Amino acid sequence: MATKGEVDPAATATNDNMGTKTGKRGELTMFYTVKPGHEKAIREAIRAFYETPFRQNFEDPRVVDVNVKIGVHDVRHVLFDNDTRLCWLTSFDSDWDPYIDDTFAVRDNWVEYAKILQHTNEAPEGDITDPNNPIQKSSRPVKDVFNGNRILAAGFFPTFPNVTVRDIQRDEKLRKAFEQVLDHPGAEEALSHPALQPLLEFASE
Amino acid sequence: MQTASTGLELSDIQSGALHPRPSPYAGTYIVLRIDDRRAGREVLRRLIPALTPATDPARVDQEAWVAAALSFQGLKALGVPQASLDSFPLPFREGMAARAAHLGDVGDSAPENWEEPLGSADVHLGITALSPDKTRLEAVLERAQKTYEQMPGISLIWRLDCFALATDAEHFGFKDGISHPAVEGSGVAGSNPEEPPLKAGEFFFGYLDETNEFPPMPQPEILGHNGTYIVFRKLHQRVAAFRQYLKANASTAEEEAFLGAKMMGRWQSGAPLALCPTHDDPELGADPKRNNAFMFAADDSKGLKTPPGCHIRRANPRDAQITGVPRLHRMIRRGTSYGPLLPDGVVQDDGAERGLAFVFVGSRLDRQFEFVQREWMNDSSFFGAGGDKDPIVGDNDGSGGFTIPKAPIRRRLAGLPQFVVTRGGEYFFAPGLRALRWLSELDT
Ligand code: HEM
Repeated sequence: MATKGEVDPAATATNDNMGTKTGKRGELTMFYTVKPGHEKAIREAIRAFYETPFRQNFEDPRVVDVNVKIGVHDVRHVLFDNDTRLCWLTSFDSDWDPYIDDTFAVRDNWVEYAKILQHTNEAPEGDITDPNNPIQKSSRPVKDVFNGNRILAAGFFPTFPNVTVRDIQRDEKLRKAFEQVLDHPGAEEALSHPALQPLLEFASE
Repeated sequence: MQTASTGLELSDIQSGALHPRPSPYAGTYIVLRIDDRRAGREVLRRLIPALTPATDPARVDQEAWVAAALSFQGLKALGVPQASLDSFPLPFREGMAARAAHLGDVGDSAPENWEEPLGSADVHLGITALSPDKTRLEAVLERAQKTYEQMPGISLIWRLDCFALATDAEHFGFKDGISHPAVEGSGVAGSNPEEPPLKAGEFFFGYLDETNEFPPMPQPEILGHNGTYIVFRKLHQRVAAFRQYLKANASTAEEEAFLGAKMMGRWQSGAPLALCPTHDDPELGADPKRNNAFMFAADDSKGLKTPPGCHIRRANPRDAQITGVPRLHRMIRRGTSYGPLLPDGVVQDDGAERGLAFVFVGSRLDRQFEFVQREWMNDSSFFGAGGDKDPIVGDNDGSGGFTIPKAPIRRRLAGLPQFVVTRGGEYFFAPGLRALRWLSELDT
């Protein structure tokens, strides 16, 4: 049975022994205990985490570009046992280590994560707004907390494990472009070319 | 007692819930407000002998049939005990107006624009009377009237007169009242020989449903058993706008009829595109043995005949490839028309109120009516067409479209306006006859 702390908290970013993967898709599941008295504060921190433009404006192509670059499919926070515990889940394209390193390389937003983690017993002591707190300089403390609290999923099933967010983004654009082609009055003639035969199957729907 | 047998207790079930209505006919819906619970119970007591059990289906030679149903506010007004009130599901307790966002009742359809008193806490007891003609209807209404008139504490607060033409056409011109499911143990044949009967629990409390469970039954048992939910919606139809839209997208009258048929899934005669995809066939439309005898998967998976986005394929995808299981979202419908017909060929709006008094019967407001309204009428994810809405009844706003599959290249109609506007409605509970007696004898 995988248990919390099975992975060395000091694990380096090259540790590849982490994460349940199905196809190209990896998952991360973590459990935390909320500091007594921080139940309201953590709920508020989670709300704020989701209210950033990066998690709200999901139709904005610039936002999509960044999230695609990160390779994240979804993120979920679940408070339970009267808000005394937190389950944090996400799934993404790639292995866990490159994923988390790349995430912070794309967006230096680990303090956003620390704002939630600071309300848990598992996070290091210290004021995260203090300029001398190591968190101000590096994502390492956040990664260490993540790695130390990860529990391997016993099972993980995505319907399309090999379809990445990048694939989805491209397919969306392709679908819209194809609709435009079909809306064109000359579409029927254009698609009658033998080279385009495979597309005709989709043209009638 | 909940019974696993399929034997429906027809003598206790209200006929209107189970039996197709006669046609042509005249009908009336009335709504009473109960200000005095004792008076309310007395009305029920007097009404019970007039109600028709399902053992005695409406026949043309019969005078009329009458049915009664109560809203949540109505049950409260009768003094139903709190524990019993609490046993009703949330949508019913909230009432239809509170579910507006869920149902797509926004903009012109929003409850603040509803006709009074629909959507208010005053709507308590709904009574319907149907009869093959107006004279007989009046006689029945007069008798029903005697049960509540001059009774202090009871007010008649709303009335709607309805009709069905001999052709059964609704205001857009399409034959309605064709497709209805068979209910196991009811003895009423379904209209589609290829659809096995649905478990009785899909429609009545106290019987197993399609998931092999008993639908959540209002308590106590005597109140819930043999009861069902009724959804009533007064739906205004913008007939001129509908005709204008067809005209704007077609170059001949034939093409208009064709586009209309593609949007509905049937020709105006009722003939289904599934069986005659290129031309109307009035004989087929009129033949109850054939006009609903079809499925979609075997020969029309792409919807080249019946578009996946048309009204009837959304409302009942049958065996088509969709996300979900159609049998869990079926309903019995008892729609009737109201308001004057817009004469043939007129494309200018005359300002008249006309439309469909939509009536749903089923044991699950959430899994059946609300699901169909939300997921199938006002969304298209279930068959992969994103956010498109039903071209006839969806709460469209001019931004959506409708895809007509066609080889080699599909046709896409754009800029769909809203053709159907909600004028009001309510969720009702139609108890069995024993339950009505129990209600009439409450002494809280
Ligand atoms: C003014 C609004 C509406 C009009 C004019 C309308 C009209 C029609 C017509 C002409 C048919 C085909 C005839 C038949 O099978 O009886 C039909 C079928 C049907 N409609 Fe509607 N309808 C309306 C609203 C609704 C709504 C709001 C719902 C559901 C929430 C609904 C559900 C159904 C169902 C379940 C069928 C049967 C489909 C089948 O089994 O093939 N309708 N409607």
